Amino acid sequence: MFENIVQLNNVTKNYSLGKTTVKALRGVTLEIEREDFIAIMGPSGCGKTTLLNLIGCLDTPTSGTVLFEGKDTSKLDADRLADIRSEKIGFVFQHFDLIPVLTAFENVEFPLLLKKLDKKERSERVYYALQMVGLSDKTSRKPLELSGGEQQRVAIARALATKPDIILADEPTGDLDSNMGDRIIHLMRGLNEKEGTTFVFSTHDPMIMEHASKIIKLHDGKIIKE
Amino acid sequence: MANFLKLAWRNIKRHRRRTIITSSGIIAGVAMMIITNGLLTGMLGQTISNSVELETGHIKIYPEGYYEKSDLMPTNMQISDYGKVIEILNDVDGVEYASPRIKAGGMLQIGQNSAGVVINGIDPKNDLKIRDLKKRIIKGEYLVADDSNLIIGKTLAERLEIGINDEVLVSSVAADGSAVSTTLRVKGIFKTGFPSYDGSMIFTSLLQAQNMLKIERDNATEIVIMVSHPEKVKDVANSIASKLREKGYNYEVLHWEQLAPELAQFVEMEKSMGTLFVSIVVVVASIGILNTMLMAVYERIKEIGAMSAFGYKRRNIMSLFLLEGLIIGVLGAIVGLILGVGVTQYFSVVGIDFGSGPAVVEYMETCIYPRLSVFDVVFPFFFAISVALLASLYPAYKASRLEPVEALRHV
Repeated sequence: MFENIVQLNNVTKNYSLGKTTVKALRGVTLEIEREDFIAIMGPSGCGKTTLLNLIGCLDTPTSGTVLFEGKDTSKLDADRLADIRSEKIGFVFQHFDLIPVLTAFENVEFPLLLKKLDKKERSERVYYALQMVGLSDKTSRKPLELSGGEQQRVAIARALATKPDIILADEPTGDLDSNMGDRIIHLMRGLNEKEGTTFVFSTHDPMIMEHASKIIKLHDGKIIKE
Repeated sequence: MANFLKLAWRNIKRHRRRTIITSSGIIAGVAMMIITNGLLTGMLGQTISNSVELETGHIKIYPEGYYEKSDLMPTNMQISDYGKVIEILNDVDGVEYASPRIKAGGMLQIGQNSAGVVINGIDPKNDLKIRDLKKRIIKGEYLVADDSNLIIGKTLAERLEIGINDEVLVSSVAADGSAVSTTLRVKGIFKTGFPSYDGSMIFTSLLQAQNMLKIERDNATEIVIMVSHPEKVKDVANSIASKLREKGYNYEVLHWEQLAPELAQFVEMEKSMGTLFVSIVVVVASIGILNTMLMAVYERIKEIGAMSAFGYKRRNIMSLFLLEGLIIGVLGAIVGLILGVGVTQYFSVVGIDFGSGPAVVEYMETCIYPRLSVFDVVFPFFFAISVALLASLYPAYKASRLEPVEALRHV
């Protein structure tokens, strides 16, 4: 087993926006060890989401290497990357990205459908995850029938239910009140300590930073402080 | 798969009105296709059965070389000893009835009026099994065996002002080449509803025709055959031909498609025109599906991004959108089928009267009773579904090719 779950070596990432090229990351080197609880901070546009996307095998770098458990992600095809995402990674997106036609239960169940689980085990996992985020009474509601905070918690439960090795969360407490935010952070910290799940957050939330084992400050596509 | 189906179904329900509008194109296409098929099948069926009944039969046997000259109706070309030939025919599998006929061109005259006619000598009793002129008699009576009288069509009777029991002069060219004429009494007037038939066909007994045209007692100019399974007419015709050859008879055996080639051509043309026309309707409807599915992909770019992030592969995303297109197609096809079959069934009872325009082909009736074959219904159903699936192919492909990061970033 690799000690580093993810390793980035001198990674750059450029986007072209029309005729101009945006340099989102300019030479990032970073090691994410198992059981890390990392907070990435920085002003908006500094490259936090890009960094999370590269760690999460959603994207490949322009130059440099991203090694996920020792495998160079730029050498893997779309299907292999999808397998890694399905088996190892949980995502909590900034805009939740719940599927509007599915209930809270079905949304949490959705990524689990790719795993070879029987229906009973799947249900158990879904109920457990929803219970952990305090939504066991709203399992049959659709996203539009839930508040922003509740939607965010469904998105978190969705990431937890697959029992991934690493959870990547983009501003996970942004839409939660401080009480619920606190509860969620404690829940994640608990999972991190008990199950050894690795967490990487992009955040402005001082509470997360308080619990973080490592804080990475990103500015203009570069790490300025680790 | 069950979960995918559930997701696809809910996505379709998400925009109920849009789904209904999209499906309505398919509904209209399938319904129109079925109704058109029903009309064509009904019309062609009626026309063919009229032609078969009144003129060609399923199969005809001619003396050798007669077919080429059949327009001239030569009386010197004959089938000798038709009784023996019919005996052979009755032994062939699939032959139901066979009846001898004599046909000759001629002239009918009454007073100062005259008209060109086709003289038909028939075995009145046997011929009824093929051509029921008895039920079409509107005045007077039908012929009896060896009748020396005549029955004529309504149009001819009206044009030449002929009434029952009037005596008319019938002239023709006999088998020996001599000009002959005989006075015959009109015993009945029939009406088939086809003006050219009612205006030119006159019927007498086989014996009377033989006497008048100097044809021997056992001879006829053709034998008309009905088969028990019309769809197998070509096989029966082949069996008859080989059986006759085997027995040393060199007669021509022709089935209805050969006897009425213009009708067979008309059938083919109508069928392909009909299929082409309604295929266009369905293809146009599929553009609606293409449009809807493209819209659906565009609206759900972020969702597609999330699906990829969870590890759903391109083929999973493609199947989801194909499934949605398929469901719209199947729904439309089912409703279209019910509508199409319903309308066709209704008109198959009451009929559709197209008024009294000139017939495009002989024996075509103006009032059509639509009828459906299994193919008429099954083809539009599966055609529409395939087209719907095909129309979803491009949007589904487009969805599957979205890069996860781009898709998630989409606003």
